[in-house]
Amino acid sequence: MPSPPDFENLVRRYYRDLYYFAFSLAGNEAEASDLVQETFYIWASKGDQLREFTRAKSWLFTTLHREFLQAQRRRGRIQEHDLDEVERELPRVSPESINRIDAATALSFLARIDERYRAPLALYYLEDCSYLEISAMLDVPLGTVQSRIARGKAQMLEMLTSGSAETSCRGGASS
Amino acid sequence: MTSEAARKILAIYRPTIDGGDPQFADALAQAERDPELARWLQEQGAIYEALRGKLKEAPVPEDLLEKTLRYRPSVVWWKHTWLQLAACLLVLATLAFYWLGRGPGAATFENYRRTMAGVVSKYRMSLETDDPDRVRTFLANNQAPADYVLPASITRQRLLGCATLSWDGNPVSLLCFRHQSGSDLWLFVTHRNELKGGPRSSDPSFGEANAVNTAAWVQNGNVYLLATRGDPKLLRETFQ
Repeated sequence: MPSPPDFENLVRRYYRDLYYFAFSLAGNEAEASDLVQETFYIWASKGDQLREFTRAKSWLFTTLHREFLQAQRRRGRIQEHDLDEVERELPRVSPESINRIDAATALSFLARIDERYRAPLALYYLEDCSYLEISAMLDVPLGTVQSRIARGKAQMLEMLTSGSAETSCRGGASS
Repeated sequence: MTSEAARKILAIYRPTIDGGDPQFADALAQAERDPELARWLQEQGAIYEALRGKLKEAPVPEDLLEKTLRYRPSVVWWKHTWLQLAACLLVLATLAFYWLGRGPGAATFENYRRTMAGVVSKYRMSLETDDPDRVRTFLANNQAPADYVLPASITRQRLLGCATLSWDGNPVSLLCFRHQSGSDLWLFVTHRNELKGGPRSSDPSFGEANAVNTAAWVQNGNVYLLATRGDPKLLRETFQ
């Protein structure tokens, strides 16, 4: 029988991925760090039944997301909406314009996406998960996950367009 | 399928991940027939990869790994059969020891106070955060007292985090604060209010054990013990 993933190996392997996910949800470093620590703490307390790294990973993401939602509910910040936006064309962005933005700014854009779309979009960009896996991790129907990703992606690209435009304007003014 | 319909489906397509996903098969076939759609798809793939790469370069707090590893909880030993047996034997031996040779006042408040005063030099924080809600939830999730009421003067101090302890078989919550004077404050909370010689009212009683100054009081079935290595006046001022 395989032995359960070792705590230290698990932390070293996934703490960065979990931090990016947590930051995209919480939008600030302190809360994201708390969420990561708490998630690993819960794993060490309860997660020893997990025998494989691959299952441990999705367990960690699911747990972190659940912890985030619980904290939001306690603060009364949770928002439940129907998806009533119209489908939009993806804004035009070039890979070059993305390269002009620094990584921290890109991550902060992700954290400013509409709350409903943030978690699936973060997993879409940051992890190698299929849509079915994202659906299971977040406990959201597959179709909803995909439409949230599509809408979140449109918002993200819009931000990148305006963000890169600002960068270009600042660059032009100083030269 | 029209190119317009294919474009909508492919809006979330990730070339390196979704290649084998059958839901995209028809739309990809349409892209093979429509050069303009193919160009758009290639561009979207490049944007996805650029953004994904950029996000994964974002900085992570330098001390996060070290903190996460440091505040690992103790091993869940009771889930291993041979350790369960050892633990049973230990419990039996402990019960026998107390039954046969229990010293006077083993479960006294003085004993509790002295033990907790010793804890402040060797405890490990289970959760580091300044968020009081997060601390309360963490303690509740770990079966430690979480129904505490903090004096207003304590809530104004900077919360550093918390830990869970056990004393005489009872869970104890430890909340750590940094007083504005720079001294550390530790607040122990336990549900046990039958401690012999313990505080009887919500008015604090002050004392000292192992060079640690303490204030103790009871409120709604909880025993509170506030401790500091700083000036004892600091504790008295807390309750003025």
